[in-house]
Amino acid sequence: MDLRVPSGWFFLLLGAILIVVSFTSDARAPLTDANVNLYAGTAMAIFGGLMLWWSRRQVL
Amino acid sequence: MTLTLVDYTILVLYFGFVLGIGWVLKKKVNTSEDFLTSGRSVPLWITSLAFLAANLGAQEVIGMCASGAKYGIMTAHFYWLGAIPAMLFVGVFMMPFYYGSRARSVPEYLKLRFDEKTRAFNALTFAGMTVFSSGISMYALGLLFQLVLGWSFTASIVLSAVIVLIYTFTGGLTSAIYNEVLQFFLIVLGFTPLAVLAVLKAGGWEGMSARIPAVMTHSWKYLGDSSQNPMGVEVFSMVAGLGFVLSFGYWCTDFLVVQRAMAAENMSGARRTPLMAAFPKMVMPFIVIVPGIAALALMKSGSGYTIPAKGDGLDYDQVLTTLMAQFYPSGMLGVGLTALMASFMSGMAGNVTAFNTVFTYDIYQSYIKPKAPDSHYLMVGRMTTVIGIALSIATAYLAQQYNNIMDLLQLVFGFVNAPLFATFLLGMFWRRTTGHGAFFGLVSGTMAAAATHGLTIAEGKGGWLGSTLATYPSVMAQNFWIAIWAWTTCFVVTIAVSLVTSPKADSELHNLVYGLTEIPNDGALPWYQRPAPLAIVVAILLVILNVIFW
Repeated sequence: MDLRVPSGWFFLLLGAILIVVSFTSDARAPLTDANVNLYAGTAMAIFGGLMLWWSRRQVL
Repeated sequence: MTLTLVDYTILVLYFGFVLGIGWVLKKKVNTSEDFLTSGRSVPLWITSLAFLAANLGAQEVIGMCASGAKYGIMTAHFYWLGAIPAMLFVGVFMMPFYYGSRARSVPEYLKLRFDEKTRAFNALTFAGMTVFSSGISMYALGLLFQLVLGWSFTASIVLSAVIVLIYTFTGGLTSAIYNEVLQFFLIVLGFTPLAVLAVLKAGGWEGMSARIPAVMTHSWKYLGDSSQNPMGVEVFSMVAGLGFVLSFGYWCTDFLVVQRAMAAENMSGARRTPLMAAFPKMVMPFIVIVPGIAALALMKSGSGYTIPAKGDGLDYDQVLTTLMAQFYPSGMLGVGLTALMASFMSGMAGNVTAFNTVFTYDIYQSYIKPKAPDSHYLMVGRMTTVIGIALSIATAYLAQQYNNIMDLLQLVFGFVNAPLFATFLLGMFWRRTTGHGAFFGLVSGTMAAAATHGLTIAEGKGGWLGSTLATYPSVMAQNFWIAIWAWTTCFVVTIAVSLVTSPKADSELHNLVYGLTEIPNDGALPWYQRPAPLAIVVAILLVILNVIFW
C-alpha cells in the first residue's frame, strides 16, 4: 500500500468538510475574528492534493 | 466545550481511515516477523515520521503545552537538548549494530552482545514499563475528556483502546507505523493553526516578550543558577542529566523508538530514520510549547483568556484544550480534538507494538516455548497485542484508584532506565565489556538511582533512607541528578567487573561491536543520503535555534 494515497484522500476530505462548514455556518471562536475553518480547510485540502499528486508522480 | 455534528463527523472519518489502513495491511501479514517487525520493508520517509510520532503521545502534547505556560521556552530543552543530539548519535553511531546484528529487538541485541541474564533484565522491565506507561497516558486522556467534554471515563478509554487494538491486531507493526504517520500529519495540521492564532493574538513574539517575565523567553540565559529559573535546575544537571543521560538513555536504547528505525528496508534507511526525524523534531516546540507561552501572555494581556485555576495555582494541563475552545470554531474544534485523540492512539500503538515484540521473542520464545513453528509465534504475537491492551486498560483504572502506587511504579521504572545508556555505550564501543559486567553494572546503577532518591529531598519527595545528603529546589533537578549518579555508577561498575571477568571471543562479536562491524561505505552517494553530512546539517540548524532563543 502506498501511504500517500489514503493520507491524501483523508486530508482532501477533511479540508472539503471544513471549507463547506466555513461557508454554511458563521460560527466564530470567542477570541478570533478569522475564518479559521476556511484557512485551515484550504491548507489541509492543498496538503492532501499534494500527497496524491506526489503518489502519482513517482514510486518512492 | 460542546461539540456539534460536524466535529463528530470528523472524528468518525478519522476512525474510518485508521481502521481501513489496518484492514488493507492485513494481507501483508503472513509470518511473525511481518507482524512484529514489519519484515524490514518500510520506506524511509514513513519510518522517520513514525519514529517521531510513536513518542508524540497525548501526554507529551498536553504536557509540553502545560510546561510552556509554566516554564517558558526553556521547555524546548526537552527537544533541542534532550532529543536531537541523541537522535543524531543513534543514527550515525549505533544503528549499524542494531540493524547489522539482525536482532529483532533491543533485548535480543543484549542477548547477542552479552548474555541471557542481561536480556531477561531488560526485556522484563521494558515489557512492564510499556504496558504501564500506555495505561498512564490512557488514564490522563480519559480524565481530560471527562473534564473538557463530559464524556464518560470508561467510554473514551475503551473506544480508543478498541480502535488501536483492531488496527494493530490486523496489520501489526506496519499498520501501527503507517497510522503513526497519518497521526503525525493530523497533529501538525491540527495544532499549527492554534499556535499561529494564539501567538498573533498575543502580539507576536515581541508582544509576548513584553508581557511575560524575561525568563520565559530565554532557554539558556537563566540557567546559571537554579534559583533564577522556574524549573529550579542549573546548567550542569540540565546538560549532563537531561541532555546526556536521560536523553541518550531514551532515544538510543528504548525499543519503542529504535523499533521504528529497525523496520526500515535497508541499513542506510535505518541510519537515516532518526536523522530525518530530527528535522521535524527540531520545530515541534513551535507547535506544542509556544502556544503554552502564548497562553500565559494572553492571560496577562487582559484578552479575556485565563488558565483554569486548580487549588492555589493554575491547572496547566488544561492550557491546550482551553486554547482550542477559545480559538477554534466548530469544525476546526473537531479536528483539534481528533488530533489529540490521534496523538494518544499513536503513543499507545507504539507501546503495544513494542510490548508484543519483546514479549513474543524475548520472553515467550526464549523462556516459555522455544522451537515452535513460526505460525505459533504469530498467534502469540496477536494474543499478546490483546493482552497488552487489556493490561493497559487495567492500569488506567488502577491509576484512577491508587495514585500513590502509580507514582511509586513510575519512580522504580525511572531507576531501571537511568543507567541503561552506559551499558550500551560500553557494549557497542569497547569489545572487552563482558556479560557479567553489563548485568552487574545495570543492577548497581539501578540501586544507585534508588539510593540517590533515598538520600536527597526535593519538594518533599525522597529522603526515605533516613539521612539527607542534598536538597534540590525541584523534583526535576532531583531526577536529573538521580540519572547522573545511576549512569556514572553503571559505567564504573561495568568497567570494573568486565576487567576481572573473561570477555567473549572476537569471532562471537561480529556486527555487534565497533571495530568488528563493517560500516557501509557511502562515499559515492550524494550528501543527503549519507548519515554524517545529514547529522552535521541538523547540528548547525540546532545551534542556530539555540542562539536565537538563548
